[in-house]
Amino acid sequence: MLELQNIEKAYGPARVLDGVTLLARPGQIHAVLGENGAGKSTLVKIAAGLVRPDAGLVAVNGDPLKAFTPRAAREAGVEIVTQELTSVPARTVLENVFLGHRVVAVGSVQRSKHARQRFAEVCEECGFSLPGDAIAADLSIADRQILEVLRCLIRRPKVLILDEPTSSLDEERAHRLRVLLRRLSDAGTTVLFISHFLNEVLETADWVTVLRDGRLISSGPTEEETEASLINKMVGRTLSVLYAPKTLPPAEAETVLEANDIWWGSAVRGVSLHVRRGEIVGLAGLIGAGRSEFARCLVGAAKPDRGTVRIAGGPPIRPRNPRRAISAGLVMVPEDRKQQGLVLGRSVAENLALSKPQTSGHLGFALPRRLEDAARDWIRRADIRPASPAAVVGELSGGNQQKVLLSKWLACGPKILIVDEPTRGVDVGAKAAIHEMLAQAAASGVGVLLISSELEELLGLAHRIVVFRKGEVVDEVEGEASERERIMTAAFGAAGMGADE
Amino acid sequence: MSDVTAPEQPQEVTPTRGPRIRATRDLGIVVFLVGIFAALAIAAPSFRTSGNLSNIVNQMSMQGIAACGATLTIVSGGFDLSQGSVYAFCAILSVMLVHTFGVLGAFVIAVLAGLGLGAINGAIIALGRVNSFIATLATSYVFLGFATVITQGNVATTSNQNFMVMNNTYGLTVASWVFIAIAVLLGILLAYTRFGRGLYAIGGNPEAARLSGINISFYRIAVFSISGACAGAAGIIAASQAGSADSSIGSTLALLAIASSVVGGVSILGGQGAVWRAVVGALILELINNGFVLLNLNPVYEDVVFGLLVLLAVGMDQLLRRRRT
Repeated sequence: MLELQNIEKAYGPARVLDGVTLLARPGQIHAVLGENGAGKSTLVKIAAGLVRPDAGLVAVNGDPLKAFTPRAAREAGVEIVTQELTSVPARTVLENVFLGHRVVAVGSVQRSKHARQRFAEVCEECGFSLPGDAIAADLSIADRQILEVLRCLIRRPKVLILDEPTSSLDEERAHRLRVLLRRLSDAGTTVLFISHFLNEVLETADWVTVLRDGRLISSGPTEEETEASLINKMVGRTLSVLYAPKTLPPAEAETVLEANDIWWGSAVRGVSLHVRRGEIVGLAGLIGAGRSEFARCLVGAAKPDRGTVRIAGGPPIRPRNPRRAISAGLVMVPEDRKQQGLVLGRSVAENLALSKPQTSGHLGFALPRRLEDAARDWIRRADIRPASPAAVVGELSGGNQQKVLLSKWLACGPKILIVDEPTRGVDVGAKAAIHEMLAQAAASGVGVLLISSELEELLGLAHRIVVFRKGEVVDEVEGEASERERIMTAAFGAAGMGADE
Repeated sequence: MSDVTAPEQPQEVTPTRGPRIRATRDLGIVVFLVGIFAALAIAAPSFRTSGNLSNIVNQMSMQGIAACGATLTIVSGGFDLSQGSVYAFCAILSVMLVHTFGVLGAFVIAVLAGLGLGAINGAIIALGRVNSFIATLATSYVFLGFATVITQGNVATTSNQNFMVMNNTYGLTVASWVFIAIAVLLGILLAYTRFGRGLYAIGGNPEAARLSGINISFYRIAVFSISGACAGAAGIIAASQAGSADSSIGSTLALLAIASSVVGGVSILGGQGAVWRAVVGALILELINNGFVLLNLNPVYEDVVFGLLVLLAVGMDQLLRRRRT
């Protein structure tokens, strides 16, 4: 039995979990549902000791965890398969399965008869088998996912947690995994899993808990739910930042971005779309639906396998590197401002000038003072605080960092602006300011492609919303609040609407 | 990410600590330098003589030039361990070519050779995507091998008196003036040009730099070429001052150049630092060396002091970075 009581967790100003309580009984398959960013993954990581909550209690079979560490949780009988693969790529399947396990204290796991026997038993019991001597890195993604499951089962957990276990499995293996979960629960194991597939939840789970914005919305037997009722609970009605009425682009506005049949690995599968001058086009979808990958292909940050892009009426090109896109007027504000966007150790002025070579004259010679003067204008326009061009970007708050990043790209005078999750993890004030900047950019004629996992943001800003699922465009709707459920239905791939392939 | 948690106050930024730390960090090393300087001036009367002071600048010119080049690579997030080999190679080359091409010709060719060897490093690192530490470690053996091959293991010498031009004195030695000129040039390049800003960006966050349209391969090749040219120039000075060169002369140079930069406050993690810091670092190491001689201290302790100083500098860098989060 797994008990979570009044769990609270915040990352900086963003509250991820707000007093969530959950009870999963032995022999129960318990599903956790919610939109992107509802706090599901954080919740299960807390249960497994991977994340320390700010407040709250975790208990297994009535005994509270001694500490919020993976070790304490493991000793209490909790095992987790996270979304991120955690196997050691260069080691064998056997070594990975017994990683941190006490079965072999000295010597090679590979040669231990006991370990091999135990591994064979578990494979036998669960109906999945992998070659024990194979190197983890050589396995397919699906097999590596299975490896993670085997690694948990070798310890015979009391509580087994799986975060989107079937997302990388084919239908046949996903089915076998569901059968396995049923068998484990029949044997008394508590199974807790997160899934984005509503039919899977309805078919497999006994109990379903819905989270929204870090709060518990409902928790009850699965029989009482339908796809529609679940979507309704996930989406709900959220109080939101006020959005100004949208200025529609003129009907004759020309197309500034045209993507044609873009393919990239298995993440982007033949996506075509266009953006007109002054138009904000939103991309909706679940995390992992391929929206960011698509955006990276457009600017050439990733090289698409197939497909072409036309920028501002130019010839169709296959994107190769960001330089070419930038000089043609296509810029992207990347998803992860710290990893991909900003040089955190440098000043605001330097970051603003980074992608804009024309700030300086011949040979790029410029005194820091001149860069700072140029930066002051943007600091005022975007209300960046502290209002000092010499401030080190890494010391700014998340919202102000995001404003710097957005200003840096607007300063290039783009024709098309792609923004990927522009308000993730920023406070409400900065959020409104960023929305304002985007709306203004569009009003001044920039075509904007907005990726956001927050439906409210898309509905509030976008003129048109394109829905992605599993690397494909599955629906396209007007940016009207009334389309909320249609978008969610298409993104989740619920039966009936949306998936019109 | 929720809309519902709205009524929290927008987070206020507290910028006070950052600038203060940076100021301490900026000045700390200079204060340290002045301290050593003052201590030596008081403890050893012969230190203050203009002869000794110009001798210090002359002595440090080679490692100083190498350190300026190393600073550019370190700021861009790389290391050049082949500087010592390039140094020896270019020194030997200049000695061997002086008969055929004259003094100036030999110098120019030797610097270009250093540039070329650096460009090879850069190309391996940028185009072959090899870690710079490993790539330059490997090429340092190859380049040193070349140096040994062309001398066949002997000391290369020349009797051409004009070759020893670097010893001539115009207030300071020619070697010192060359060092000062290179330091000023590279200092301007790093601090005041787009190229320099690009180096900081690549060292601070290569992915952000790439997505900002910076041609990273070009920058890497350029920066290693500059580092090679600096090592070459330092090698020429060494050859010119001695009138001879052999393949063993550069064995400590690359690490000494890195140590100078780090002691001066250039961050080994990249993205932070300045050329003047390398100069200050090299000067500090040279003053310690000079102090040991003047004060008649047992030179066996000199390396211990050097090492502890580098540790202290790196420790400070880590501490300051951690506080900034």
